[in-house]
Amino acid sequence: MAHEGDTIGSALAASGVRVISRSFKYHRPRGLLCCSGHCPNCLVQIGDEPNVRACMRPVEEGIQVRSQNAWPSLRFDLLSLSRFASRFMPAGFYYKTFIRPKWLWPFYEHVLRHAAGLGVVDPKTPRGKYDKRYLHADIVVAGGGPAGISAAHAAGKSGARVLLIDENAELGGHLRFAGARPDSETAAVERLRSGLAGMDNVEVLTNTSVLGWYRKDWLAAKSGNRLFKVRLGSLVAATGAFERPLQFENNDLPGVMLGGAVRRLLHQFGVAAGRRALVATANDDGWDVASDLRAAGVEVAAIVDERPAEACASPHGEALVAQGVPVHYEHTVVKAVGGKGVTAAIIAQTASGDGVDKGTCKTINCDLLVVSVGWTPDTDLTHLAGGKTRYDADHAEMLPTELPSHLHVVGRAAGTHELATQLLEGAIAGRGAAHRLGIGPPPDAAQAAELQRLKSSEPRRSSPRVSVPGGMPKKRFVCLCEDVTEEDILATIAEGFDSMQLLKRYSTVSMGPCQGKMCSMAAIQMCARATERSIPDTGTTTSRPPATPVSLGTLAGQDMEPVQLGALHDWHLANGGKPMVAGRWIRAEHYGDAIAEVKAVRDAVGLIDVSSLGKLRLTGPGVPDLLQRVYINKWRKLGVGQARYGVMCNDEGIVLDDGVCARVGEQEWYMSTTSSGATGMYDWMQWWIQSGWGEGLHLTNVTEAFAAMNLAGPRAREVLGDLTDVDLSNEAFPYMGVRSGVVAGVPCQLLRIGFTGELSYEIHCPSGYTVHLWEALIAAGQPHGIKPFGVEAQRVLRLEKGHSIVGHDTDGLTDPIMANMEWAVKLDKSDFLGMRHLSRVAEHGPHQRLVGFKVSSGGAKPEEGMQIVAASNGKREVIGWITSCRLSPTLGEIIGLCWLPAELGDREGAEFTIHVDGRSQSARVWHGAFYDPEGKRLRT
Amino acid sequence: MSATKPALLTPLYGVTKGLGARFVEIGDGWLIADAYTESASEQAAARDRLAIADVSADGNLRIEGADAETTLRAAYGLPALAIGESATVGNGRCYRLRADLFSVITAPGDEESTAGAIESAAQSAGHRITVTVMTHGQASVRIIGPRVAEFMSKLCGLDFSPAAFPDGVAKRTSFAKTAQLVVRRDIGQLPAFTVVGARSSAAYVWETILEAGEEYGITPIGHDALSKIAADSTERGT
Repeated sequence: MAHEGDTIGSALAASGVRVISRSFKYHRPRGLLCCSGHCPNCLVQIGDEPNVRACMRPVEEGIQVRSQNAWPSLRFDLLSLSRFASRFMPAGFYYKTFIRPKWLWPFYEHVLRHAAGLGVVDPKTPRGKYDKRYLHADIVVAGGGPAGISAAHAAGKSGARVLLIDENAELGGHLRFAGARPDSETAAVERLRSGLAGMDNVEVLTNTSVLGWYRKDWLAAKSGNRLFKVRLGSLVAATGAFERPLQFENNDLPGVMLGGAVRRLLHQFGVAAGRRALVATANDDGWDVASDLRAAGVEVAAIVDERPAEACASPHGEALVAQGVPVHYEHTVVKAVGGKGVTAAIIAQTASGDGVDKGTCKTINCDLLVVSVGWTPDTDLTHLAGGKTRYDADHAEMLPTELPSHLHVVGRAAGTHELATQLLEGAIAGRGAAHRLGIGPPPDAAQAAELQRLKSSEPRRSSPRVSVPGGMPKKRFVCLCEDVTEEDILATIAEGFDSMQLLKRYSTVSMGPCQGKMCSMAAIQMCARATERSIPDTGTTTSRPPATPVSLGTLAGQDMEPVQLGALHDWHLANGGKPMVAGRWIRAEHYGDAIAEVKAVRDAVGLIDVSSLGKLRLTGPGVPDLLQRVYINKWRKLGVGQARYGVMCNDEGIVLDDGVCARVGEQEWYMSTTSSGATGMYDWMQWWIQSGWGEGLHLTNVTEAFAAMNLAGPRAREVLGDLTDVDLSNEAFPYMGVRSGVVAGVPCQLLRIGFTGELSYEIHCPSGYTVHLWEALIAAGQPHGIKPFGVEAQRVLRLEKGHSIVGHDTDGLTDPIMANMEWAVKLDKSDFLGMRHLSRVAEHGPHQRLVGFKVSSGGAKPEEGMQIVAASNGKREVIGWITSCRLSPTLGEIIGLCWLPAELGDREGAEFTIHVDGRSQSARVWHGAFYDPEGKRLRT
Repeated sequence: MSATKPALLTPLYGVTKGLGARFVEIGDGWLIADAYTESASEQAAARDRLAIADVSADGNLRIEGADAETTLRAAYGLPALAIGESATVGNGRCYRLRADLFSVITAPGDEESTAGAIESAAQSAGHRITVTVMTHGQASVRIIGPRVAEFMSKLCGLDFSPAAFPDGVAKRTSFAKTAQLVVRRDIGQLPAFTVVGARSSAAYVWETILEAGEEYGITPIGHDALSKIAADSTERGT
């Protein structure tokens, strides 16, 4: 029975469920430990979502929660028998064990994946709904505890635009579960919190976790399935601290819980984590927990404090003693006793160093063993944002030292535990962060001095103790995520992996879901002790984003894959057009029968939508000069009303693009590019124009402003003639001519060009008229047998003419000479882009050639990309490849384009071999067009 | 010869038709969504939640050249503008996009006359500029609502706060992974942005906005509702 506001973890705890998961390697039972979303002990599967932390996920009606990594059930997990083999599975055993024989790896992999690991990813899971939001702030405060609230309040009051991010549902940090506090403290925090609500310049994001800091002004956070990308000026890291576990035998048993977790359950959810508790502590926080438990009616079996009695300053001390709670000073816990949960604890008196006096061991019955021995400041974000930390031996904590100017660290993350000091530290940081950005006054110097005084007088809250000897070190768990024990750590160091980075990689300590939050400090301390180095000399592991686990879907965000649709897209779909992806464009591949479409163009007339072609408008007196430089052929003498085919190369002589450019006025030109080249060619030419080429030249990309369609076939003139007054006669409007005119009531630009080898008119009209014009042409063409034709028919038609497609038959290494466009290369021009390279190629000849071919009679059709091979010294070697190949319906033959060595490709009729599905297929080189080689039909 | 009056279809004609739009002819004959449901409820959606409207029939001119600023000043008294700033020119609004590049957005059907006036001014002064009517190449969607700035931040990395992006400013940016010109033109006190981009991406951008706007209760509204909201804000003197 769950209550509103319960998490899955609190509901299970309230129902008396202690075992929530099984451990990664030995399948040991695990229960709630931290209740703050950091440790791996409560990972469960919810529906098809693996690795959900039960302590953080709110309960929902009908939610399906399953355990992970247990077989056949969580309660009776047969895989837990692996504990008997633990002596054969020391740290790094899999690196040594499973490498030979190599062929057995698939078997090993199957078994290991079944026995270890976490939740199950279902590849059939439908895509969830994800999105992202960009945010902008002067100051981001990460962490909504008292210090964070105070920082946000002070920065907001200074006038800065503040974003306060907290991973919990409510602000307040540890105060939310700290139990009763003095009224003055509560009132101070409440005053600040309500002050935030009244500030328009402060935005608060709860249930949001910071993932990382990137560069100097960019922070990522997530909330549910939403990713936030935040631009900011300064960061205040008020990230708090993790309560530190203690390494003793069976320290992972269900019922061993951190003090903060016990208080969360008690004060946030009204759940007592046990009936009889033993509190093992090293600071006054443990006494607070004992007092809270006692007030809630839980029997406190004993308080076991590492410190001597005189070091204890808990305000609850006297009351607890008076209530008869046994207190064992200078004692610690040696062992937790139990099977699937704690039933007792063995304690012993502490001795010098980390030792204990074994002769003083006592067993105390309890079902809850509370550990409250200190804090590990959460410095992940501090590190990611460029801050450095250093071990402070006085406080036994890793504390920030060197911070860049954009970063402030406050509160427990900075080792500040007293509430009043946290509030002061937050206020100074908030004001300082704002002032750095030129907003508001600087922090008060006297307050800063007072802060230093208060910080230096804070008592130590964390025990320097690493682990408790006695019992079995192989059951003292350091890394709960990966089941790494103290014995594993020591064995790893003994094997020579004695730096933190190597220790981490070999033992896998800190590499699990908690990413070292629970274990890295202990691992560092153990490493330092074992190698007899100081902790600063031992070093730390490297913090890397994300600081909190995040799904790939959240990083990907909303499904956004831009596509480009022409004005005729709906018409194509409605008339049987099969959509195909061409770059970002969706075009009609065919309308059901590509061969019939080819025949219509050859015998009657066809109409194709070529609106995706790039279209550029060039104006100004300097246009011929620019064209002369960017094209490889000549342009100065092109008259008004004429068009010319051109090829563009880069400065290395590589083909970039091709198309037709028409002179439509004395100082106005209209250029077409390939569909994929529009933006690139615009940018390319704009770059040269901005560099000073082309006097007074203006370049406009009008690709989208004009639609284009090509009317092709022997009856094209008749169809078009029904719709326009433009004189279409061969004399008045010859091949490669351009005219302006009205077609079907629409102002158009007509170009007598085409890719098909037939009489063709490319008609460009303002895009808003496209459907009207297209439908008018289709209607006018009905008596002439018109058919719309798609990309596939166009590819066949152009191949019959031997035309290559830039980017399809060519690649990023192709120059125009090798691509059989040598006729266009005018080396007698004064200069053009690529001229120097092409001059050399022209002198020495190309090593490859793009040529046509015909497959020998009866042969199978090779696919594009297939290899052309030749025998050499008894071996077969690849000498070329197919770029285009189709069965020509017009010729009844298989034709294509291919790359061959120049000495072979230059010999018309030369025979070569194509490797087709393991068989050899012979073909012969063909020069020129396969169809109408003299080009009579298009000039008719 | 065809005697049928050519229909002008915006790039969102098919999409809006699919949403049940009733159409009205405006400007040079553009068919634009007039309403999808009741005008009053569409107006309420814009005022209370989030609304999207196809305004692709708005005239769109591109004026390029080193003399463009001088010409516009001569023709319309254009004040000095920083990049992104705008001022009224005739019945339209002129945005400076680059030192030598301006965009003028006019009421539907006004672009040809505006272009003519600018070209005449240039010719009289002996200036060399290029004026290109881009109306047919652009898709424009208007997004309106009290939380529109917050919504915009889901699809674009710009800072849409009034301080960073005041009324009358235009910015060229990536919006929903496409190149767009984003213009802030509030309707009285009601915040509103216009997203102007390539015609071919219109359907994609529209669908992406609708998906991202679900949580805000985004509603497509027609020309009628949009006109009435604008008229209402004018009447109130805002």
